[in-house]
Amino acid sequence: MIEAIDVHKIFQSGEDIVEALRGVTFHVPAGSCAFIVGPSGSGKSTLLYLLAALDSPTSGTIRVAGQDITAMSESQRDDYRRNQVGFVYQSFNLINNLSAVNNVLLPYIPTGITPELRSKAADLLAEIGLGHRLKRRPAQLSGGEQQRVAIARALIKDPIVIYADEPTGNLDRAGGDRIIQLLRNRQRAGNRTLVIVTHDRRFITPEDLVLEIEDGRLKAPFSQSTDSSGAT
Amino acid sequence: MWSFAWQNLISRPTRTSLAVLGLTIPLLAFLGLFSLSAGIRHLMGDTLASMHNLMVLRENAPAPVFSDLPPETGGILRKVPGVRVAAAEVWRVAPSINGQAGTSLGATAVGLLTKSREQGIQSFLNMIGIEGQDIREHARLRHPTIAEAILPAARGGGRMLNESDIGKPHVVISTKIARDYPNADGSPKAVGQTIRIGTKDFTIVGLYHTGSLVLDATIVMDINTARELLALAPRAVSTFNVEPVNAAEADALIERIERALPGVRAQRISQFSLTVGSVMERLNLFLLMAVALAGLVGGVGIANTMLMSTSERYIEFGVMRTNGWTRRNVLVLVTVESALLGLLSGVLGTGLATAGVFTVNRFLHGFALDLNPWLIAASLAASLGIAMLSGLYPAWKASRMTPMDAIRHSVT
Repeated sequence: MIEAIDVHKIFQSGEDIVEALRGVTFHVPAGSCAFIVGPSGSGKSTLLYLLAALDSPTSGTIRVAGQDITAMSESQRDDYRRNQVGFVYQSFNLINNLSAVNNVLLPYIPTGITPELRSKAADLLAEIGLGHRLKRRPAQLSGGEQQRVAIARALIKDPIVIYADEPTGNLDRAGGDRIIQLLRNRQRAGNRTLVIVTHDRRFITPEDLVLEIEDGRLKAPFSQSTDSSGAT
Repeated sequence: MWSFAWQNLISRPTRTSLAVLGLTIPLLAFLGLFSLSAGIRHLMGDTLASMHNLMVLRENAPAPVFSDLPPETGGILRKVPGVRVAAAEVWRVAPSINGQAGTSLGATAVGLLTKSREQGIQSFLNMIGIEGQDIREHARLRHPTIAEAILPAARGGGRMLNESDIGKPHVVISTKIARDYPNADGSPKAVGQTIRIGTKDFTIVGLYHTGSLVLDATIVMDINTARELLALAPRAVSTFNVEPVNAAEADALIERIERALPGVRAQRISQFSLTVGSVMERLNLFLLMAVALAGLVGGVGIANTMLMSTSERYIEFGVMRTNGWTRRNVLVLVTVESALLGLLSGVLGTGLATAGVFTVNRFLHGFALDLNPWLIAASLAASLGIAMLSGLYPAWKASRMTPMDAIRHSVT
């Protein structure tokens, strides 16, 4: 499903050169849940951004569902992000001027929001326990509720893969547990692939694939359960 | 998209209001000044434009009140082939009326220069002219303008001057003058009553209304009576109202008159409306330049507002890009926001201008500001255009935001 081959990412700021990723290669099977873990500054978020086509690698190849996203044009990448990817930020990043339901519908504002889409967004919010908060603005929601709206925004597109960047980072322990549970439920229900960046290993179960990054390199690959993730 | 853009604007009410106001003020100036200019053009032009006779006056005299012609001009004119009637007239600015200090040309000029704008315009509007007519000759005209504008008898119009009025202190005045110089009890002057001009009382024999600012500010009397009142020489003449035998040959007649009478200018009376039009066109150009400058300032205000708004929202734009918005989508969003600002300014500006013109016109008599639909459409289009142009750079800048901009800024 997701295949990364010898991916490098170098950041240059003036004369400073930072090699964030140094030849990362791995494979995440379709419908699985993968955690990218590692210390701060190890390159785990950078890797996630490359997988979501938010940024481009300096070299290497990334394929998602058979598509080489590193070879895509800008409009193809827009299309990929619009139709195939759900992305959840650590800091929710909801649009303050929009209600909860309209935040969920954000991807469709340019193309027009149909009554079917509006109904789908409302159903989605109801399913995640926010049916009574459809018209609330982000400022009127708790952190956990905002993150649930952000997840609904990622799910409205029926993405083939959901990327979450430290989705529990701004939540308390109980709130974090609920968010991870919600993401897992949605992943299983839709047989989607879920990739989560986290520094909190308590969310990892034996069935999950773990990609541990340190200093821009993938550490010894393993899966909690089988130790046979396919990563190299 | 429009709804989202609207939400973005109303979420920052103070900034949006100031930007709208910044463009509304130049629009108000545009509409106010141009409706004034159109009103003047309309008023000066319409009645004059419908007059087919020629006016013969001294060369280089800008207006009849400045013209003096030699006494023998009439005899020569009548011998020019193609002249049917040559009716002598004397024109001067009226002295005091009903004891109120007269608004002489000098006083009007001083008023326009030294008084407030409203007082200056008022002194111009109040300037009254005396027209002394050669009654016998004027009676021969096929289309005597004042005579045709006498009110019906049922409305107390009285009559036009006739031979019985020669040498007598009889006048025909406009309804505007009757209203502006009323009786002691405030009622407008009526036929049969007297009006004091200078130191003499004149009996009103007729009331007229042409609708023209120029013509309705004229008191008409016998030419000899006027010469006596204005202390002019017994044979003094300012102008001749010349009626051609064939109106279609007026241009050829003008040439013949000017050949026969060196130092004399002949022109169609309707030509005065073209002169007014030409002056107003120059005035309009000047006004347009002044208003364009104000519009530029309004545009800069909108550009500034949109720049501030977009630079505050880089995270939003990055989030939109993450969710599949293209650069073009972001560009359209910000441009729509600018367009809405322009539209708001346009609607507010034209609304206020329409209400203002309506209110001002209720207090003006004989003159009206002319706010026509083309002017409103032009100002709406200008407002929209200025706002959209001003929003282009901020829109382009916003469209350059990448998803990574959102992430970097939300992390820091």
